[in-house]
Amino acid sequence: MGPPRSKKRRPTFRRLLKTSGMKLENKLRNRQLKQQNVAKKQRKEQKKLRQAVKDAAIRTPRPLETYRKRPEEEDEDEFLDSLPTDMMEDDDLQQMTAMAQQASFITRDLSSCGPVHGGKRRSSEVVRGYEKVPRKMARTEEKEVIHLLPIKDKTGVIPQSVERVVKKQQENDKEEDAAADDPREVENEMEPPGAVQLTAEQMEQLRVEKIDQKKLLIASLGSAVIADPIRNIKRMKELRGMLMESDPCVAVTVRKLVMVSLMEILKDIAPTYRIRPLTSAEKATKVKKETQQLREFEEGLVSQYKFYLEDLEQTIKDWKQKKKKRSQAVGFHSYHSLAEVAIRCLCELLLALPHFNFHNNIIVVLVPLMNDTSKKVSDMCCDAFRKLFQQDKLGGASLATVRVISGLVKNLNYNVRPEVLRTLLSLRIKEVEMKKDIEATAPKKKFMNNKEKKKNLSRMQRKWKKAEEKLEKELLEAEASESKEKKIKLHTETLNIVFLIYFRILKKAQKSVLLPAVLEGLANFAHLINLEFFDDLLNVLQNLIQSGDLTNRESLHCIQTVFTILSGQGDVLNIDPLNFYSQLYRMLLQVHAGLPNDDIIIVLRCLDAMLIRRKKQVTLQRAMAFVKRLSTLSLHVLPNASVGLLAATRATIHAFPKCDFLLDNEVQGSGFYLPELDKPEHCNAQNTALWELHTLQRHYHPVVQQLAAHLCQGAPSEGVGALSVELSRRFPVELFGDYSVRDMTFNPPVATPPTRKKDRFSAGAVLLDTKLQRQVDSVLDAAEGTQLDFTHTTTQH
Amino acid sequence: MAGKQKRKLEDLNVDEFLASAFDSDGESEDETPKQNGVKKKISLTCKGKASEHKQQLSRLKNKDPDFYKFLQENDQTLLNFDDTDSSDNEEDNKYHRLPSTLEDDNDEDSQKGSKKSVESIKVTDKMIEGWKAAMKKEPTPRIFREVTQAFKAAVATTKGEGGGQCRYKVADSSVFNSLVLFCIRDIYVALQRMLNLKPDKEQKKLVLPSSSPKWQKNQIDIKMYLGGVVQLLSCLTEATVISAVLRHANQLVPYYLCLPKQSRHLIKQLLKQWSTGEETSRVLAFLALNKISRHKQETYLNPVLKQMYISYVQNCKFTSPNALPMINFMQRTLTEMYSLDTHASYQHAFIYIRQLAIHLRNAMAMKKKETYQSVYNWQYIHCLYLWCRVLSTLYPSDVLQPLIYPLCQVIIGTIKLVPTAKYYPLRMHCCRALTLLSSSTNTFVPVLPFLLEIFQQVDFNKKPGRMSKKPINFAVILKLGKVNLMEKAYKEGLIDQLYDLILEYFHTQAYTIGFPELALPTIIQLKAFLKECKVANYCKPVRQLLEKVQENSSHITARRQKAAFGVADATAVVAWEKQIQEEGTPLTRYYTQWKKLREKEIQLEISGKERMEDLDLPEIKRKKIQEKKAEDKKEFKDLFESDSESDDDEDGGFKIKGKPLLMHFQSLSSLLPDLKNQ
Repeated sequence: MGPPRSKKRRPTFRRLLKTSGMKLENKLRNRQLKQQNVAKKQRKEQKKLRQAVKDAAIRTPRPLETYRKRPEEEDEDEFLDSLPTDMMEDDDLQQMTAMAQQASFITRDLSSCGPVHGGKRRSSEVVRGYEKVPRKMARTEEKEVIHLLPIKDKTGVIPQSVERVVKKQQENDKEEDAAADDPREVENEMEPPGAVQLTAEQMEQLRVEKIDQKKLLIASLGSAVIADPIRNIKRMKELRGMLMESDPCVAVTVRKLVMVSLMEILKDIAPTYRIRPLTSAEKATKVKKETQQLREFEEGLVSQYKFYLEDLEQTIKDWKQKKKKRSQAVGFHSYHSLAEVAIRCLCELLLALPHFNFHNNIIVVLVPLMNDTSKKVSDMCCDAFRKLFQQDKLGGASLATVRVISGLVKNLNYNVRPEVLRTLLSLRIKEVEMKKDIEATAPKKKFMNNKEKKKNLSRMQRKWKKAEEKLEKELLEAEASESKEKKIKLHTETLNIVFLIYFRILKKAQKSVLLPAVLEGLANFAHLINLEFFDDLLNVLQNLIQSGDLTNRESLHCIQTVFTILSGQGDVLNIDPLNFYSQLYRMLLQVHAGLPNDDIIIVLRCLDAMLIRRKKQVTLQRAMAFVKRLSTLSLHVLPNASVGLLAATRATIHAFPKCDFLLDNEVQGSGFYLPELDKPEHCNAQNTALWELHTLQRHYHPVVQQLAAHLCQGAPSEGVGALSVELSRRFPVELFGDYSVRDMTFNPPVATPPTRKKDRFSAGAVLLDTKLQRQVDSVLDAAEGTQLDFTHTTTQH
Repeated sequence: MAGKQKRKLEDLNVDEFLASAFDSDGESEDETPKQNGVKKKISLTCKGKASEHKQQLSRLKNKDPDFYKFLQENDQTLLNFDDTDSSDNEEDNKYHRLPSTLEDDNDEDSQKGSKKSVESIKVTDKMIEGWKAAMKKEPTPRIFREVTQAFKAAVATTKGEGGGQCRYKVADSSVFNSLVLFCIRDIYVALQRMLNLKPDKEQKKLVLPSSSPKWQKNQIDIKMYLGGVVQLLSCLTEATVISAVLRHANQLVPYYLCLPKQSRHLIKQLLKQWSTGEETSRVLAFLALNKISRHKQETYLNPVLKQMYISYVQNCKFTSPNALPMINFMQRTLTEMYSLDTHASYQHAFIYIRQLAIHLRNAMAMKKKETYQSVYNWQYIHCLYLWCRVLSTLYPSDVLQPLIYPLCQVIIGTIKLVPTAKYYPLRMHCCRALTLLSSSTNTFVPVLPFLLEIFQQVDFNKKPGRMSKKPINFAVILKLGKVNLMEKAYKEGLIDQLYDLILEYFHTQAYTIGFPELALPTIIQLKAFLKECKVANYCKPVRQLLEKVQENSSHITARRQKAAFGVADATAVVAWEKQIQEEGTPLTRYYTQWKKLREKEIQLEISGKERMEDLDLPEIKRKKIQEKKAEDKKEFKDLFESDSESDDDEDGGFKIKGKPLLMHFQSLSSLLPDLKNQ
C-alpha cells in the first residue's frame, strides 16, 4: 500500500482539483480501517451469538446508568398496525393535560430524553456507540451526562458517567426566573409565568402541527432512500436520528413512526443476498466505479441496519428494565408501547429478511421474549417464530432458533410457557426425515471407501474418477439452490436439538407444564426419532402412562408416539406393546362428545398405526374387541367423530375379514361378552354383535346413517350396500376433518323437502296436541260470565 | 244550567258545522277531523276543556292512524245519510266528569223524540229492548243499521274522542253495557238469519256470507260493525270482557274473511291477545287466528305465521314460573299453526333455524362475551325448543324431516359453545329439547355425553361453601352465579336434574336393541361416581339410577341373545324392538311410576313457590321450601278461585293472576317433555 501505487491509481480529475496526495491516502486508509472494523464487529457478533445461546435467559439486565426517565408520558396503548392514527394523538393530549396538572413534572429533568444509548454501551459497542449518535444530537447528550473514566473488568471496558447534578438545579432556577424560552417548558408547565399561556386546544394544535411536520420529514427521507438507495443511504442515518426525538409531546409518536418506516424501508432496500465484509485483498484491488459505489452502499446499509437493530433492542431492554424498577416506572406506558412496536418491527424483519445479516441477532433478542409475561408480546413472538419455521426452507434459521430455545428452556430450568415449545410443532422437518440420519453416516463411509478404493484402482481409473468428481463439484456449484444434502444436515441437527429438549424434559421435569407440549411434539416427530432411543423412550412412556398422572389427551399422545415409532423403523424391534393396546382400549370409553371430542383424531391416528399397519401382529380377538368398542364409542361422540370411527371400523373389518362374526348372533365358543372389561383379549368380543349399528342408523346425521347401514351389510366394497366413492376413498382422519362442525357449517347441506305432496296433519278443527285440545275445550265450554262489565274499559291507549 | 250551556254550544256547533261543510265542499275525507278541530276550538271558548280534546284527537292521529282513518270512513258514511252532527264528545266529557244525572236523562228523552233533529239520539235501555225484540222477530237491514250505528257510537266512547259524527250517542254506562252485550250475543244469529245463511251441515267448508244474495246490500253496515268490534277489542282491558268479545269475533270470522281490511285489523288485535293476553283470551285468539289462516291459507297463513313467530320471540324474553305456561302455550299453538301447511312451514323453519345457526356461528367465530350473549339467552333457547316441538309434533312428515339434522347440530353447537359449570342450566334445557326431539322423531341424538360430562367436571365431594335453604329452580334459569356454584342447593339440584334427564333419555331408548351399548359409558361413569362420592344424599339417587339402567341393560342383552336374526336383518330388528316396546322393559315400568311421583312433586313445588318479583332479569330465582300438605293445597285452591283480581303480593305467598290453578299446573307440568310413545 505504498504511495506510488495509490498515485498510480489516482483518478485524473483529482489532479485537476489539486487534492493533495496525502489527503487522498488518508481517506483510503480510513476506509480500509473502517472495513476492517466492520469485519471485526461481525466476528464479535458471531461470538456474541454463541454466548447468547449459552446465557440467553439468565442474563440479568444491567441497570440503567445514565439513562434517566423520559419526561414524556404519552399513554399509548394501541399502536395501530403500521402507522399511528389520529386517535393516538388524542391520547397524547390527554396525557399532556394530565401532566400539566402534576406539579412533580416541573421538577423533573426534561432534557434527559436524549439518545437512548447515552452511556450504556457494552464493552464491544463502545466505539459504535459514539458513531451511532447522530451529530446533531451530540450537544444535548453532552449536556446531560458527564463522562467519567471507564472501568475495566472481565467483560471489558465499561464507560462510566454520571448525571449532571447541577443541572436540575439550573433548570429549577430557570423556571423560577421565568425565563423559559424552551418551548417544551412553556408547554408543560402548569402556569408558565409571564410566557404566553397556551390552552389545551392550542397545545393540541401545536402538537398536531409538529407531528405533521415530522411525518412529512419522515416521508420525504423515506421516499428519498427508496427512490435511490445507493446514493441516498446517508439519509437513513438522518431518519434514524429521529429515533431520538426529544420533544416530549411528540416523542413517542415520532419514534414509533420512525421505527415502522425504517423497518419498511429496510425490507424494501435490503438485497437478496447476505452482505459479507470485504477481505483485505478485495479492498486492495481496484474496482470499477459502480462496484465501488455498490460496496459503499452495502457497507452503509449494513451499519445502518445494525444500528437500527441496536436501537430497537435498546428500546426493548429499557422497557424490561423499567419493569423491574417499579418505583420509577413513570413513563411505563409509553415504554411499553414503544417496546411493543420495536418487537413488532423485529418480528417483521425476522420474517422478511431471514437471509440477511444479523438475522441471528434478531433471533437471540426475540426468543427470550417468547416467554415474556405479557401475553401480547409473547404471542407476537411465538407467532413470528411459527411462521418462520413454516417458511424456512433452508433450515438455517430454524436451527439457530431451536438452539436458542434449547438454551432458554434449559437455563430457565424448564420454567417456560408451553407455547414456546408448541412453536416447535411448526418445524418443517417432515420431508427429509430419517434417511438423512442414515445417509449422513453412510455417504461418509463411502467416500472413505472410495479413497481406499482409489488405491486399488488403476491409474487411468483414478484419473477418470478425479475428472468425474471435479465435474460433479462444478455442477453442484452451478446449482444455485441449496443442495439437498446441506438441508438434510441442517434438519438433522435441528431435530437432534429438538429431541434433546424433549428428552431433557421427559427425564428431568416430568411434572412440569411442558409435558403435554412435549408429548404432542414427540407424537408429531415420532417417525424421525433415532432407533437407539427407542428402548428408553418406550420405557419412559410406559411409566408415564401407568403412573396415571396423565390426562387422556397426553396418554393418547404417548400411545401415538409409541406406535408411530413401532410402525416406522421400529418394526425391527420385537416388542408386543400389549400394554398400550389395553391402555387405548380402556381410554376409548373416556372419550365422548363433550370437551374431549377432538381427541378422537389422535385416536384415529393411533388406530391406524395399531390395527391397520400392524395387522399381522394383532390377534383376531383383539381386533374384534376393538371393533366392538369403536362402534359403541361412535354412539357417544359428535357426528364427525362417529364418521371417523365408523370408517376406522370399516377399515379394521377389511383388514380382519373374520370380524364378520360380529354381525351374526351366534355364540362362538364359551363365555359372555364383558363390555366393561379393559382387556381386549379376554372380553369375549366374539360373543356379541354390533347391534348398536341399528341405533346409529337412526342417527340425525345423514352420513353416519349411511356408514352404519353400510357396516350392517358387512361393509361390502361393491354391490348394493357399498359406500359412495367420496366416503370409501377417504381416510378416517380426513373424514373427521371433513365433517367437523367447528364453524357451524352443514356438511352435507340440509336437504330440501323431497315431495310436493302435502302432509295432512290437522283434520278440521281438531288439534294435534291433546293437551292443547283439552285446554281449548275447557275454554270453549266455560260458561260465559253473565255479569260482564264493560265499564272497566279504559280509554288510554 | 249545564244543559242550557250545552244547548248553546250545540247551536254553535251546528252553525259551525254547516259553515265549514259549505266551505270545504271539495274536500271529502279530511273534512271531519278538521271540523272536529274547529268545533273544539269553539268549545274551548265555552268550556275551556276542549283544547285537551283537540290534543287527544291529534294524538290519536299519530298513535293509531288506522283507527283515525276508520273514523273518517265512518263519518263519511254518516254524511251520506245526511244526518246531523252530534256533539257527543261533550256529552262524553260530561259523562266522564260527573255520573249521569237525572236532569241529563230527561234532557236526552226530550231530544230523542225528534228523530229528525240535528242532535244525535241518545240510546236508552228501552231502545235496546226494542231492537232486541225486533231482531228476535225478524232482523231487517234497517234495524241492523240502527243497531250498528248505536254500536258504533258506543265504541266511539271508548276512545274518548273519535266518533264525531254518530247518529246515536251512548252516555250511560249501563246502556253501554247492555248495548254491547246485546250485540255480542244476538247480532251473529241475527246476521245469519238476515243473510239467510245456514250452517252447512257440519261440513268443513266454511260458508262465506258473501255467497248470500243480500250481502251486497248490507256490506257497508257489516263492514262498519266489524270495524267496531275490532276497535272495541283494542281498548278493552278486562280479561273476561275481552274473552267475551273474542268469542263473538270468533263467530264472525266468516264475515271478516270477506273483508280483507277488517280482517287485517282483526288479526293485529288477535296477535296482541294471543301473545300478551290472559289465558282464555289467548286460547280464543288462537282459535280465531287458526280459523282465519285455515280458511284462507293462501292469503293469511304466511303473514300470520311470520307475525306469530315474531311475537313469540318478543314475548319469551323473560322466563319465570308464571311466564312459562304462557310460553308453553304459544309453542303449542304455533305448532298447530305450522301443521296447517308443512311446505310453508318448511320455509319458515328453514329460515329461522338458519338464522339461529348464523347467530351461533358468529358467536363461535368471535369468542367474545357480547356474541355469547346473542346465543345464550332465553329467546334463543325458547326458539330451539319451539322448533323441537314443531318437528316432533309434526312427525312423521317427509317435508319437515330434513330439518331435524340442522336443528340437532345447532342445539349441540349451543351446548358446546361455552361448556362451563356456569351454564349447566342452559345445557339442561338443550338436553331436554334434544330428548324430546329424538324420542318423538325416532332419531338418535347423543345426549348422554353432555350429561355425564357434568359428573366428571363437578366435584361433589367438596364441601359446599354456603348453605342455602332455597333450592334452585332449573326450569327458569339459564346460568348460575359464582355464589350459586358454591351452594349445597346447587349440587342437590344438579343431581336431581341429572337423574331426571338421564332417566328420561334412557326411557326413550329403553326398548332399542342397542341399549346395552348406549348405557355402557353411563354405567361406567356412575360406578366411578359412586366409588368417589362420599355424600350419601347424592349416592342414593345415583345408585338407584344405576341399578335401573343395569337391569334394563341385562334385560335387553338377554332378550337379544335369544334372537334368531343377524345384525343385517333390519326388518326383523324393527319388529323385535316393537315387540319389546309393547312388552315393556324394567326401565319403562319404573319410569311410569317415577313420572307420577315426580309430577306430584312438581305440583307441590309450585304451590310452595314464591312469586318472582322482577321478571326482567334472567337471574337465579329461588323458591322457598314450604312444606305444604295436601289440605293446605286445597285451601289455597279455594282461595284462588275466590279472588280473581290481579294483585300485587309481596308477602311471599303464591298468587297467579286470575286463572284456574289447575290449568296452571297442567301447563307447567307439560314443561317436562311429554313423550308421544307412552
